[in-house]
Amino acid sequence: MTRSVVVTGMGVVTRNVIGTRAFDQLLADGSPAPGRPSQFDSGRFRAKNAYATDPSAANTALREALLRKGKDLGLGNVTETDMNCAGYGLLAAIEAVEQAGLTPEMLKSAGCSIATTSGGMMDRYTDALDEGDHSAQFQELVTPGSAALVLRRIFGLHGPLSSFSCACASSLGAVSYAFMRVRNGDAPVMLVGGNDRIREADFAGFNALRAMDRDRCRPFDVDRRGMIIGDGGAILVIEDEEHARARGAVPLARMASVALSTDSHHITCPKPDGLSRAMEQALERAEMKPDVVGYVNCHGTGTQINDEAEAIALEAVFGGGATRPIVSSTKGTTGHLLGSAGAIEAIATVLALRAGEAPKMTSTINPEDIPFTLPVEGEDRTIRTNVAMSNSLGFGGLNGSLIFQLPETGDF
Amino acid sequence: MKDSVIVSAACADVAPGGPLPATGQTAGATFGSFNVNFLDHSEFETHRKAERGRHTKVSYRLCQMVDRLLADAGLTRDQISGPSTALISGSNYGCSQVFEMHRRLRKHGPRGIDAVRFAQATHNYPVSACAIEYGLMGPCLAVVSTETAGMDALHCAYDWITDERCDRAIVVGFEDFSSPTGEHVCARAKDAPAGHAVSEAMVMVMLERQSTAQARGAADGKPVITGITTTYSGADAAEAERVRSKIAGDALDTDKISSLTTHRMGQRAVGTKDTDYLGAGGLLEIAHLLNSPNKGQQGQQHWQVGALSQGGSGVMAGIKVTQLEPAL
Repeated sequence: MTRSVVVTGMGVVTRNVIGTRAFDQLLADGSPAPGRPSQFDSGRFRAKNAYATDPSAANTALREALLRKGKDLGLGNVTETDMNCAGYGLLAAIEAVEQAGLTPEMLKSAGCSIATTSGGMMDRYTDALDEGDHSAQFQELVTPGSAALVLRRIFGLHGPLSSFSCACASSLGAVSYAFMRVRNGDAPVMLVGGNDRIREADFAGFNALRAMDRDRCRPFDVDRRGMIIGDGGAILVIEDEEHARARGAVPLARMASVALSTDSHHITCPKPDGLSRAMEQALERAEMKPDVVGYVNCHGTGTQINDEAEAIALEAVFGGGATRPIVSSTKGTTGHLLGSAGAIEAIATVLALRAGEAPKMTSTINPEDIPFTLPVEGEDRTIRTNVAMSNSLGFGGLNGSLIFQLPETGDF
Repeated sequence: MKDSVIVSAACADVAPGGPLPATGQTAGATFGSFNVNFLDHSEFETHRKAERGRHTKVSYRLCQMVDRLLADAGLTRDQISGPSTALISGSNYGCSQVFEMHRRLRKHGPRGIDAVRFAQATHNYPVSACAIEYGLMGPCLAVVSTETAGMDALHCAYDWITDERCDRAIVVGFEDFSSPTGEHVCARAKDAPAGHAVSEAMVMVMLERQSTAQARGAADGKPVITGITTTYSGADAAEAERVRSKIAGDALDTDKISSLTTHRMGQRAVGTKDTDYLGAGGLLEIAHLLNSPNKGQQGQQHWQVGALSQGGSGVMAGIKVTQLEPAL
C-alpha cells in the first residue's frame, strides 16, 4: 500500500532572513545586493561576493528559539559545536516542526533526511590537525552526514536517517529518500531538507571554474555571467496525509512525485535530455500531463551552460502543450545554496503555489528570448493551475524533478 | 504479482584485516591497539599519470570493479547503458578529495584550486564518473549517512527498482582514508577501545528486477531481497517484530528467518577483534552471503543483514538464499 505524502511544515534560514514569512517577503521584494562573506577573506578571489548568511545572527536566533520552544518540543541539549555544524538546519527545523504542530511523542517516530554539499566539520578539523590540535572536540561531527545526526539527537528522532551529498542535486536525493519512506509506510513523518555553510573551498572552486558573476546572479538574463554562492538551511516536514489528517494538521501542499536521472555526459556541463527524462518521469509518476503544470522553479544558476540546457529541456517537455508554465529561478534572490538549493527552492515553490503567483525575478533585467513567461517586471505572474515543479541539476550530470500539488478545492 | 528484486552479482576489495591476530601487527598503520588498514592502491598509482585527468583513487577503483561485477553478473556494457540502470554509493567519510580542497587552499592559496580538481571534489564524483564511462542514465546518488551508508544506498536502489524507475542498480559501499580523512581516522586511535580496527574497502552488489534477470537466464539460485526497512538501536520487542515482519516478505513467516548477521559495528561491543568497514560493512555481509552462504548447508535460508550506526540508526534487509551446492 502506498500513501499520499503532504507537506505540513516548512522552515528557512538564509541571507538576513530567518523564518518562512520573512523568506516569502524576500522573494516578493527581490534581492539586496550581494556582499563579501564574513566567514573568510574573499578579496583574494576574482569574484568576491556571496549571498551569505550571518552565522552569529543565526546562532543568536537559534538560542532564542531553543529558549522559547525547546521545552515544548522536547529538544535535547545543543552545544556550540552542534550549532557550528548544523545550526542553520536546526533553526529551520524548529520552525518547520512548530508549524507542523508535532509533539515530542510524534517526533519519536519521525526520521530525517538531510542534504549537504561537503557537510560536517572536516575542514575545521583539518585546520586543527595542521595546527597541532588533536583534541576530540570536532571528532564526532567531521563526517559529511553529521548534520542529520545532530538533528536526530536534538529532536529525539527514531525513524529513518540518511544524508545525501550529490553536489547541487543533493536536496532532491534527500527528498526522494524521505518521500519513499513516508509513501512506503516506513515512517509517518520525515524532516527533509538541507544544511550548508558557505565554504571557502567551494568559493575558490567556482571561481576557478569562472562560473561566478562578480556583480549579481541574473538567471535567464541576456547579460548573465554566472552564479553567486549562498548558504543557509531549509527544512520541510513531510507526512503521511492520513496521519496528518488524523491529528488535525492542515497540509500545505501534496508532494506528488519526485524523479531522478543522470545525463551520462560530462561532469560540469549539463545535457538537456537528462533533465527532460527526470521531468517526464516525475509527471508520469504523478499521473499528470505537462499542461497541468502552472509553474516551474528552475535550477537557473545564471551560468550560460545551465540556463541554455534548462531552456531546451523545458521546451522538450512543455513545448507541445496548449499552455505553458511560468518558469523562473529564485537564485537571483537567494544565491546558489549548492547542496541545499533544492530544499529552499522546494519551499519557494510551495509558497508560490499557495500564493498563486510566481516570485518576481528582480535581478533579471533583460530577459532572454525563451518560449516561456519569465516573471520579470511587467509580466503577469499568476500561476494558472494547482501544480508546480521544482528542478535541480548537479555536477556529474545529476538531475532531479519534484512536483507539488494543491487540491482543486479543499482545506489546503 | 509484485516482481522480486534479486542480488545478481557482488564483488569486494577489502583491506587486509578481518579478525586480527592478537598482536594486531598486520595492519597498515598501528597506533597502540588501534589499527587502520589501507587498500593496495598501487595499480592506480601506476596508471596515475594517464588517468589523472579523469579519475580519483576512488573513481578509478569503482570503474575497475564495475567490469568485474558485470563479468560476474553475465552482463555487457551495452546491456547496462541507458536509463534502466541506476548507480548509487554509500560511504561514512565520503571522498577525501572534498576535504583535500580545503587543505590545498590553505597551503597554496587560490592558485592551488584548479577547475579539474574542483570538479572532482564532490562526494558523487566516483559514481558520476562511472555513470559517464558506462553510459548509465538511471538515478545516480551518493549517500553519506555514517556507518549505515552502504545499506541506505541499498535501500534507495531497492526503492527505485520496486517503484519501476529502473530495472537494475549497482550499489557501492566504500571507505577511502586518503588525506586528510586518513589523518582523522588515525588521530581517533588514541581514544579507541582496545583491539578496534577500521579498514578501507569497496564493495559492490548488483540488484536486478527478477523478471529482467530471468529474461536473460540469470535469475536461478540468486539471493532474493524479501524486504528492507529502517530501525534504531535499543528498539523494543514490538519494533523488532515490525522489522522482522517487514523484511520477511509476503511469502515467509517471521520465524522462518533462520539466521542473523549484523554489521561489525554491532559486534564491537562484545570485544571482538573484527575490523570495521564502516559504510561498506553491511554490503560486505551481503557479498559474503552471495559468495559463500553457510558452507555445507543445502536448502533455503533466510538471512537478516543489518547495519547500525554509532548514532543509533539502523537499516535491515531480509535476504532469501537458496543453497544449491553443498559448498562454494
